[in-house]
Amino acid sequence: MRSMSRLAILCFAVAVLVAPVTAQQRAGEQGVLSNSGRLLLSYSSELVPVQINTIHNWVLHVELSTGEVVENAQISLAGGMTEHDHGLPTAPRMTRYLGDGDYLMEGVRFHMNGRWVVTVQVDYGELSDSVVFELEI
Amino acid sequence: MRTTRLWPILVILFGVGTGAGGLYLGSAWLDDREQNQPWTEQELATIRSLWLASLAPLSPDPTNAVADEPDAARLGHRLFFDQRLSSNGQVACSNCHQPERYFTDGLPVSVGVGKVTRNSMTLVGAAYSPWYFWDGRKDSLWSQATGPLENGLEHGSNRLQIARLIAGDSGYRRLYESLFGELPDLTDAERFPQRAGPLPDTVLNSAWEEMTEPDRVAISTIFTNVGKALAAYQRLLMPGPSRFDDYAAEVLTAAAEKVSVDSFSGLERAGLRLFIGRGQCVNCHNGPLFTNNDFHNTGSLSAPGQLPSRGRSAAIHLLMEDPFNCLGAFSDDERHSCAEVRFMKTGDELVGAHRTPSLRNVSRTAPYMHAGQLASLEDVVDQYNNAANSMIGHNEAQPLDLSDSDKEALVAFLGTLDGPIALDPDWLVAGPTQKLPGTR
Repeated sequence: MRSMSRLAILCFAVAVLVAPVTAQQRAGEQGVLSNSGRLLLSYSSELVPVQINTIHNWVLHVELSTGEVVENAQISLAGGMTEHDHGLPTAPRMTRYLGDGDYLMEGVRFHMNGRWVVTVQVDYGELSDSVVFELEI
Repeated sequence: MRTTRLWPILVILFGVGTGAGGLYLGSAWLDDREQNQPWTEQELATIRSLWLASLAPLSPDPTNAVADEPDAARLGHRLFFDQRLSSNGQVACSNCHQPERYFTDGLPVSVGVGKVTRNSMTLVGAAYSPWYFWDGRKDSLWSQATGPLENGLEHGSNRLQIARLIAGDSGYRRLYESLFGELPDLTDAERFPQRAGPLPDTVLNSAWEEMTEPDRVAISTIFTNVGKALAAYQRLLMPGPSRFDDYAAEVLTAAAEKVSVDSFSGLERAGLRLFIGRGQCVNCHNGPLFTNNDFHNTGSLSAPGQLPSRGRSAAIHLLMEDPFNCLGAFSDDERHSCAEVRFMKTGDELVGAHRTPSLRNVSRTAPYMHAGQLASLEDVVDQYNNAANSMIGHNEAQPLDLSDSDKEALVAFLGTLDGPIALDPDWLVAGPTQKLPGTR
């Protein structure tokens, strides 16, 4: 029985270690504070886990750190791989506000495995702020 | 005296002997080192990602309503080998995309009616790419197929000539009309000149401009339908398993069963390890087709006598102005989803960038790079190892500091990517086609 428990723990540990969704992605999905600390952004990807060479969409959820959703903000997105000194292979952009603080970002694609940085710029009234998501693909 | 004369010979023999012994020991050492170095979990994941069995099924092409129609593939197959699709009756698609050369031509730059400035890219697996040509100035396989037909240096043909060929050949006409509906009556010479097209040639262009807009659309529709049939054929051209794929299958099974695999030599294993590691090749040559089909400036020198190619940066406006792009009226995608075009990257990063070619069968498709500047794989590895500053734009590649044996190993590994084309041989030669893949 004890060995079964150990086996279960081992299997869980292995599953966590090899899980395709990385810790950075989980952080991005749960929410990351903006540079000023006033916004909390999270994303969900149409493609799970995020993979290379497939164009897809993200939904960005934007709320104030106090919990109120941010409606009708201007959102832009840029990114790249600092290790290889290049940007994203596409030019994703926000195409629609979906309501309830959700924004549709179309045209996301990654073309190399490795560490990516995605910076989301939010302009909302007087507030101009950004959030950096890190992904290991 | 005799002994004195023998000394040089003895020294040479000793040198040759120790040299050979050194080479042997080096090779044996490499084998031992590789044998004792298991693949890490991350390396195995990368090997799996390159394995042909990981290739996803080909997605439908919404811009081409006949993309997966068997009769369209049959029509495209016949057209692909037909030299009547040219101004001099001597140039077919298969001139520059020769099946026996893995659908390339073995030349630095291709020769059709004239000499072009680009190396012929393989068509095998091309259907997976969102972009075509080295600079990606086309966004679908069918639109790509129309380009060379009316290029003055390639087929040198024109839209009226192509339409008349389809209408005048009973076999073509039957297949065409079964797929696309009735052809217009081209016998009215007032409406339809013998030769015409929207081309730099003033005579052909004048004749084209004199036609009515509906007639021009009717002819362009035939022309693009020919492209769509050619694309339906080219969607069948897929790579078969290579020795690398056999090794990947073995090593991925062995990783689970903890047994050793030795179907690769030590040199080939070392090459694979470099390819997915320190050599950084897998950054761009990723996935089961060994390409991300994207654009990179890797510091390729210009071809002798030519200015450096601006690559992708010069192709963006060509793509957007092309009436045959996926946003245009000749696309069958009524929703014009066209995500790759609508969210296409532009900007300085694309200066001097060219599309990553597939490496499957790369040892059979020399010479290399967009203008065939590099004759051998050794030259290619040297270029990436040195990673000199780009003539224009910014070279993404970094010097690799590979040793001579590293370079030898990489080339040995690339040789394991040779494999057959996964298609009945009847489809790889001119002539009537009897069977489709997967049918009996």
